[in-house]
Amino acid sequence: MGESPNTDGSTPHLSRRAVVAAAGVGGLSTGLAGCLGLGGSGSSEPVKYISNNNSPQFKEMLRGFAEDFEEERDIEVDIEFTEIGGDYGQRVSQLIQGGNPPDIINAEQFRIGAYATQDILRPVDDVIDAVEEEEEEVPEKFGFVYDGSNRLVPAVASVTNNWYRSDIYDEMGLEPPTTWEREREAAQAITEADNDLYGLGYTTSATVYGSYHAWTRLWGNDAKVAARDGDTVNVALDSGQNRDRVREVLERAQQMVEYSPTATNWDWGEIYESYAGGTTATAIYSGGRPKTQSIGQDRPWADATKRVSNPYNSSNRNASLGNSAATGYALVQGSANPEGAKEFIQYMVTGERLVEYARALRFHNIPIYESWYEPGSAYRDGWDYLNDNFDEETIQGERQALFSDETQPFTAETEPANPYASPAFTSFQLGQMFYDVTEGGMNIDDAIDEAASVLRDNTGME
Amino acid sequence: MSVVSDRVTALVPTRWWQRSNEILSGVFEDDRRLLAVCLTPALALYVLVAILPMLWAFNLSLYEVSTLNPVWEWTGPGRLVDILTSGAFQAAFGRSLIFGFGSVAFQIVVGVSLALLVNREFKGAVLARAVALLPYMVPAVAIGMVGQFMLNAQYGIINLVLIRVGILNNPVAFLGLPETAMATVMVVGSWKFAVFVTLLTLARLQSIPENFYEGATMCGANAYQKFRDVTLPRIKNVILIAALLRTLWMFNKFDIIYIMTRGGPGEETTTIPLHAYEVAFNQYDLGQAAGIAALMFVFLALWSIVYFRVARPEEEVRVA
Amino acid sequence: MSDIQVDTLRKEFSSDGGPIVAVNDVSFTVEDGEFVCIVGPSGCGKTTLLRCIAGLERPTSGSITLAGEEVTDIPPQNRNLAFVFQDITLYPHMKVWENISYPLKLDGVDADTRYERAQEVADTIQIGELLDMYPGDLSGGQQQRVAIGRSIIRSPRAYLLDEPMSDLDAKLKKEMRVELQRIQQQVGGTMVYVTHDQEEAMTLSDRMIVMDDGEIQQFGSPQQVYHEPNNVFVAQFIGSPEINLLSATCRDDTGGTVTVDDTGWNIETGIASQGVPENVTFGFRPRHTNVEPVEDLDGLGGEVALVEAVGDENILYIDTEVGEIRAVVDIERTPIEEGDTVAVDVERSYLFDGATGTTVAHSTRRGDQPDDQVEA
Repeated sequence: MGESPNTDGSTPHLSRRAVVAAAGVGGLSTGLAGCLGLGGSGSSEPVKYISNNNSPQFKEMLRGFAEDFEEERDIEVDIEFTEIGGDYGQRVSQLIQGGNPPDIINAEQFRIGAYATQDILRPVDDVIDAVEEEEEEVPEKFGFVYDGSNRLVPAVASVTNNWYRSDIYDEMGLEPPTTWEREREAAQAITEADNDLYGLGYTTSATVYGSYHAWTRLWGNDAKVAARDGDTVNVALDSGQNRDRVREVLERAQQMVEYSPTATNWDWGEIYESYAGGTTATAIYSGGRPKTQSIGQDRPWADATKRVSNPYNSSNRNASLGNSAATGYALVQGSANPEGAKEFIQYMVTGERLVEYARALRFHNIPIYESWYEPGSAYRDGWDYLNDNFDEETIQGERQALFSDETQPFTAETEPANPYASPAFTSFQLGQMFYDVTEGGMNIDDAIDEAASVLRDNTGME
Repeated sequence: MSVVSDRVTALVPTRWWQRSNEILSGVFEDDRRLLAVCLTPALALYVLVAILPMLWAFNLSLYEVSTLNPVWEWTGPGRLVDILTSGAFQAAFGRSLIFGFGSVAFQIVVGVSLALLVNREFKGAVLARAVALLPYMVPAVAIGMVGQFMLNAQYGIINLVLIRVGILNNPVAFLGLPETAMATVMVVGSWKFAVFVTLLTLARLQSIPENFYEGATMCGANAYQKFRDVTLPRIKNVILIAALLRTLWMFNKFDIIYIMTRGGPGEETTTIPLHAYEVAFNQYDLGQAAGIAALMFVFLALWSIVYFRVARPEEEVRVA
Repeated sequence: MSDIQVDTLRKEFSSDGGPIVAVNDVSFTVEDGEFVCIVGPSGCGKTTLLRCIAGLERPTSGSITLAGEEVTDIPPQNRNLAFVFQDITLYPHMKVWENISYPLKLDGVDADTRYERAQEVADTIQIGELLDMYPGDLSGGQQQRVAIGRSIIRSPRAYLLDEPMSDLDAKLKKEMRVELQRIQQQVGGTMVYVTHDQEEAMTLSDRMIVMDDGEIQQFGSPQQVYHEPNNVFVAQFIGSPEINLLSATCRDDTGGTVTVDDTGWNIETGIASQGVPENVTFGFRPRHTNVEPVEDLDGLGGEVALVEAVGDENILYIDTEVGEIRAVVDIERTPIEEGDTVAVDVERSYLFDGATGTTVAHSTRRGDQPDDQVEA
């Protein structure tokens, strides 16, 4: 995207000064007065945190953080985990509607806009300041600014990886799938070869992954979903030259599904399962799951699983090479103990806790601090899993992709950030549009119009 | 003081006991009071779990409410009209009709067939009955997950078997194709509930005296005629009641569809409940979702009334 | 209409303790148009036999022939037999006319014709006004008429009736018997009627089959069966009050005189037969007695323990040295009260083989021709 002024080559970061400069809004004093980490909180209510993690390992780890924190700071933390099969968003909204909002919720960059646009998130600039002081500067792209203030405290991030089976590619003499041409050529060759493999899992589903895949594919042709016009954000899918680019992507989708198993209902699970299970030879993913799952399932191709960025159309090389998505914590308005919550968040996203947390994610989600990627960092040092399974090229390749300007969050299509990227994402309309023109049998222009109209009806975009 | 209080405590239990005895016998002697006493808990519960949430949903549908924001903004009943005229709602309603009636037809046919099958006396009939009723014990969530797993095009057992037997040449994503998704969800979502129909029907079948069939045989009836003239009249009203209940339940069915397809592929299996869910939790429009729920209630209520008028399932079949 | 031939028919049921023989190689022929009752105690195999004829049970061996056509392997619905069940199998959801005309419905006859035919039949059995009612609204007798109506509507080859009146009260039973006979005369036709009630069998039958333990004990007219029973079982089962049976010894082989065991009573039987064994059972029916009050008893007799009045007859229960015996007397001609000592004179005697129970000889009714032929 390259829209952020970044001429001196230094990465812009999320500290308060940078935000104020970028947003051009002054006088944001909220929360600044609270001397973070310096004193106990004023409230006796326990800090309430609704976690979207329910694996036993994460539960145990987070409870450990809470206990240590309680001992250290004398602030009680009450963590509620989503039940298995339960829906996180449903539980959060229940608590908010019930007038008993939690202090802390989990949030991803591409989802947080839905909360922010409802004005239910507290500013967290002071938390970020304190975190940056303790760790290092957090690049601006990992934050989410709404109404002039940061609303997300990022903990880790993931980046668009196009994972491919280098064993197959090498054996068949194929180039890594970096561009549309190479991707298509390889997908066709692999699918047609007698090896029980499909070239890729070209997903055209109205699911979370379907949304992610669709948006990523649009960016591969420098096509955008949204464009800003002053205070309004417009749906850009169906207008001008952008529409032509969207059309090109959808035409290509009709072609690419030929090299894929039926992926009309795929979500995150299906895409990495089909790769790790040996059905597909390429998988676009936000993060490392196709590789970590192949490692976990002891697949012979685990080591041969390499990454490139999102394949792009060579004649439209201006595009961003994929999405970078931070995930972290947000504070909810109206909760009982915001000050304690800020302290607990800061506690969780710094020091040995963040190392432990990030390691538990197995290089699927990866650190937001660039220095952690250096061999010998506290994060990498002595971590057998990473050293045994990931070559330096892959580690540094992900780092490079994550921190370069070539990846951006979906919100960064506009400047300032598009708060409606989140409802646009969760409406699943982009995935639906891809479905419509492939399995759904709809005419491409009708599908574009339909998607654009639904986005206008259901998001805040015009 | 202490003497007085001692007396009071000594007296209270006996007095209280006598008095409550009088009240109790009064209640039991008066039919109307007894009726009131017996009905009140059930009514209170019904109001609490059925009426209040419904009224709440109706009320909520009159406001603009974001799922993520506790502030309600009055919009008025025009909202319901907007919902009714929206294409997404109409499409979802159509899918609900297909899913609801299709599922019920499947459940009735399979359920009654199964009942007829296990009603016959043969070696191991009791075991067969027990096994046939087993699926009813399995939670829908488990069925959905296992069903999705078994139907998977890559590693699912069903594709594997169909290819092995030669029915298919290539794996079919049953849940991923617009042609098969709805039918597949209906079948997977129904086989468990077919057992519900079996359960009801079986009880009825076992109350049909054997000599009714022998009588029909002696009149010259063949197997089909015996089913039509002896079995069917006896189980007809059970089937009608089952059909009504199942239609209501299948219209409201959420879990199995959500687990298996999330309403996909595209929106092929997005029935009304899934649509409401999407509106509430993907579009964060709780007010509209409540409106959809309220309209669905109205529709189901109307359907029940019409059904009772036309089919008259409550009419007890003549048994003597 | 047709005759029914049953030839060495056998029906076994399996049970945990091995096969149970319900019908043991039975053979008989029911003539065309004949009314035959099969009578016997519970469990004698009479219903099984009837169900075999109907086809509801598959015989283990043997054959059944209807009007010369072997039907053993033909399914019941194709035999064109009517069957009336003990528990009336009317369909509660069908009106009377629908129930009556159900066999026609199965033949594909249209509703109007069926109604007309049902009306005709209902008039025959005198329930014409009930056509549009449901079975649940009818009395037991009316229901059974409907069941009979259904059985006659299609002119079957024969009617099989399985204790159709056992659920009716005594008065209704009597009415229905008359009714059934009337119907049979009207429609004609072969009827096989199973009952455990010997009185019913006696009144209804042209001929009757007495069954016990899966075997035919006797097949003959009610008169034959009553007066010339084949054995002790038939003698005991048929006739009310029950025949008196006393163990006795026969000194000569003519059977002219028997001595009742454990007494000194010598009784003249009026029998002049030959080859009568020494060890016999002496039988006489309560009606074939003359009872006189006596001061001093010398011979068969005793003290009257109970007098039971039935119509213009009295049944006397007399305590004797060898147990109770029964006698029937005319109330007016023989005024006897409880406590009287009476002497019993036997008018007609039966002698059964003491070991096998087979009838050895019987005397004739006084004034009748001697007849000790027993039908096989």
